Amino acid sequence: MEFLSYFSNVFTFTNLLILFLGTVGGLLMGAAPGLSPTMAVALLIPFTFKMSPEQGLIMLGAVYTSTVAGGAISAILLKIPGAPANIATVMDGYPMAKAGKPKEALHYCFISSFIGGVIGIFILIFFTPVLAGFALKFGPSHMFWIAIFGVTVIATLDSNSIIKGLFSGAIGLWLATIGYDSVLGVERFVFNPIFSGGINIIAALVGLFAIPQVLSMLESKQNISDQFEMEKRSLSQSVLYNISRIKALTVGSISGVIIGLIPGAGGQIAGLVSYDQIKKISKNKENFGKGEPDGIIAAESANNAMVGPSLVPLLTLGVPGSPTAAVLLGGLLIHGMFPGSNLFTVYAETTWTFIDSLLIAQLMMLVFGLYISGLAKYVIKTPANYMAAAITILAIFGTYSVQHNFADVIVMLFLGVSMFFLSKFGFTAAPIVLGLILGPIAETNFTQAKIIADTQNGIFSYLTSGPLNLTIISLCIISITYGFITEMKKKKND
Amino acid sequence: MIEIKNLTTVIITLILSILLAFVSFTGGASEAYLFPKIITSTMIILSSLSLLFYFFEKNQIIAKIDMIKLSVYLILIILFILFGEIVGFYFSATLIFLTVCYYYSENKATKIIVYNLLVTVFFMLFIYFLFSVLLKVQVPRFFLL
Amino acid sequence: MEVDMKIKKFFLYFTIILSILSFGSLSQAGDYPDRPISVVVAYNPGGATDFQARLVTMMAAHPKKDYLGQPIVIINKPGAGGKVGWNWFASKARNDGYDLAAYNVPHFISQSIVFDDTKYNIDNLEPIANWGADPAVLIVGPDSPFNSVADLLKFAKANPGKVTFSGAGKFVGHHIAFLQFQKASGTKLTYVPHTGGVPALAAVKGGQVMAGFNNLSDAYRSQKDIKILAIADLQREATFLPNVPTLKEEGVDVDNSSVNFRGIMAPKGTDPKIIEFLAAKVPLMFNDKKTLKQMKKGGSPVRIMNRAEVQAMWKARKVSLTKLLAGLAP
Repeated sequence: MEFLSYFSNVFTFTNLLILFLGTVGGLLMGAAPGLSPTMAVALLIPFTFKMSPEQGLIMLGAVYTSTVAGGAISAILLKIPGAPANIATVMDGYPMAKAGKPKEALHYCFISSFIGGVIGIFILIFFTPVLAGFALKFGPSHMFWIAIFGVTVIATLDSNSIIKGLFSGAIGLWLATIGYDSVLGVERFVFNPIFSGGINIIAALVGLFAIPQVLSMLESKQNISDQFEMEKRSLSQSVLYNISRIKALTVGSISGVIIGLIPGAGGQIAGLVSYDQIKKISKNKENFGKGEPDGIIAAESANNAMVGPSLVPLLTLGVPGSPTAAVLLGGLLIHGMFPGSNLFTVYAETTWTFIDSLLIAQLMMLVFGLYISGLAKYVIKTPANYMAAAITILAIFGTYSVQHNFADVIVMLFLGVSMFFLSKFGFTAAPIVLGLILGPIAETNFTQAKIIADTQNGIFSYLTSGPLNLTIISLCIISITYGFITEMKKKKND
Repeated sequence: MIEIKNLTTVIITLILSILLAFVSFTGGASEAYLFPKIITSTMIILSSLSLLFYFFEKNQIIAKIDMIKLSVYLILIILFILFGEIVGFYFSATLIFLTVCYYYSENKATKIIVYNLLVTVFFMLFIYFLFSVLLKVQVPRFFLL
Repeated sequence: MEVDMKIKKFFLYFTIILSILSFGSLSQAGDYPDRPISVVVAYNPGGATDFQARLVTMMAAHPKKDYLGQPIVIINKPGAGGKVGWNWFASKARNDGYDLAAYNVPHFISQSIVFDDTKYNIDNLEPIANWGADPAVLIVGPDSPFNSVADLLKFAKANPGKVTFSGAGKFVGHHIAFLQFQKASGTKLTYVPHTGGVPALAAVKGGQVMAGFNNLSDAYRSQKDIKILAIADLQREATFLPNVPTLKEEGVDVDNSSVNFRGIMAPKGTDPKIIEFLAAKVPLMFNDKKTLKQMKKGGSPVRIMNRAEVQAMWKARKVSLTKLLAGLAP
């Protein structure tokens, strides 16, 4: 119960102010298309220079948690996920907004984010010593199978056509091989110097989602709100309904916690994996993709449940569990705090104050998020031409600031316009982004596994021995079989 | 107005996969191109499958694209890709914002133009404050603008 | 039609006003530096180069110190192991003294040798000063049977190719250290490139690989989870790891070619007066007491070198790396 004694440190005027500004700013930055959590944290690190380590960490932590939730706002209202983590939120959030329930969708998003987030932080508080070594168990073979598990999600992601979904996923996987490969030290498919840095995930995400949405706004010249009547919804109704969806909350939080603990880029797929799970076990599968609240609840609780556990390997071993956590590591080092047991002994006060502030940040995020849910109608009522212009400019500036690279902006616009035409052919963007995220994980780890396996008994036995490998492999098989059975049942019913 | 039919989709996927497979199989060092080869082979299998399925389906129009309407936006994007880094982000963004607001609004009265100008100025100030002042991002500029 | 004319007129005036404004501000060029200076870091925010660059430049504008008088802004242009940032710097950076970059030796020199599409080499970059040197250290996991370099070599000689080493990718310091170690000890070992120093270190901690070369600073921070066997430098590291022997002491003839030097450079063509000014002030800034204290707290080994010393170091590295990397091109 050590964490309780440091709560008083959070409640100073300066700390609360930083926390408030971080949370509100984070929510708004997350909501702006093109500003991802990783980038928001990276851009704010210089600010922490002039602060004490405690204040700096409080701000970065608050921004980290709230940008993840903020990314869902644009996912629901504009069909543009703020970060890869929010892709799953688009699937049912946007249809709900289109059906006149944007406020209700945002309520579910923030309530579930809060519940997931608090669960994740409690895992961080109580289970850090137990889970510290967990991240180190994952070697190349395990990470390879985790990526394959992610690929099995692609197949069922696009509910209209499995073939087109898989094809889109393959395009994403292929795009990921463009550029310099640091494992093999070679460059592939660099037909033009703009590709030498590869396809940046955020640039691709912004392009693939924002630009097609802008083009279809301009094509139809319709505001989103022209299409429906706004529904009135009270907060208490949303809260009661949300809390009653125990299955979705459990699936979301558990997948979020597990994925957060696994090192690497895993954190970005928490939302999609839990969305896929809840879709498979739900009784009303046919509602998914058409505005099923369970979809938002599972995805958003997973996204925020991932935050706390992703700090476990970071704080104990210096191994970040998500790309944003990797940037936080730099924030810690700047203040001379090394990850490791020192953080909980020498720097215990700063560390626990930081963790406590994360809990308060969740609460602030909930209150402020619910408050701005009521303002959703103004976003939706903005005339299409202003909206399209504003999204384009934000996308350009946001993409540039990821790596200060104009080539990323070109890639973003190019992918965006191509995606608009591809979407007319019935392809969807989500599998492409998932392919882009999973491609490098699968390939890097396969190559490393092969190099290591060649010194042992060969690649096959390396990839299939050990309980952890077998567990993940069976998960892959279950996922594929389940998807296949569901598909057969659907065909039969038709 | 371009109309898209099922057959077009199938043919385009097939061409795309063959094209990508070609560059992946002629890339060079076999070890580094193992993954691209696996991926593009899968793509060829998938697109052949969809060609097979096509014969069991009717050839319907699945979508339409209004190219004339979109051309102004697409031209703006191409101009930005070509000159954006040279003329600077703030200058080109202002022009894009103004043009999109004006061209794609139903009402083209003078009053609306003045209103558009105001919105543009406020939005660009917001962008300047967010990116250049707050986040200290150094976007390409034309001299100091 | 009338509206069209109005719009055209508006754009015309708008353009004219904008250009007047921009030329106006251009003409007020004063003494260098009169505005913030940017330093390009070719790696991600949060990485070792990034946070060290931020630490050593934080005193630049301190009002009580006579350093630069203007703040330094760090700009991250990551990608392709540093190639994207350095390519941009060598080909597009302005040579007015306001665009500087951080260099990593041996990375950029070995890349300029191995790849034919790099736009940078030691001849089109002007070093200003060096702030740090992070030698590669030979590490093994906490439960490893190897307790010394001799143990490891004994096993490696009996089992050629079976000992796996992790490192942060190809052609970086860790890889160079590995190649030198393999050559000098006459053994056959296996190098497993990782996507960065942190994952490479995690692979050693978790026992995914048997050993590894990693940054001294990162290894120092996680001493509890690993065993540090030796250091690939000419002398021991006095501040952080005084008890760790050099590879030479252990009987393996490895020099300091793999030491990761970090410093600041300018593009070729920068006014010699500006370079002279920076070369005089920047080492003083690196030597600031507060900076040194922060660097020590962060476990980052400092080695300050002036412009002439860095020029000599770059030349020497180029010669030794060309020899070492001959026949290793991808």
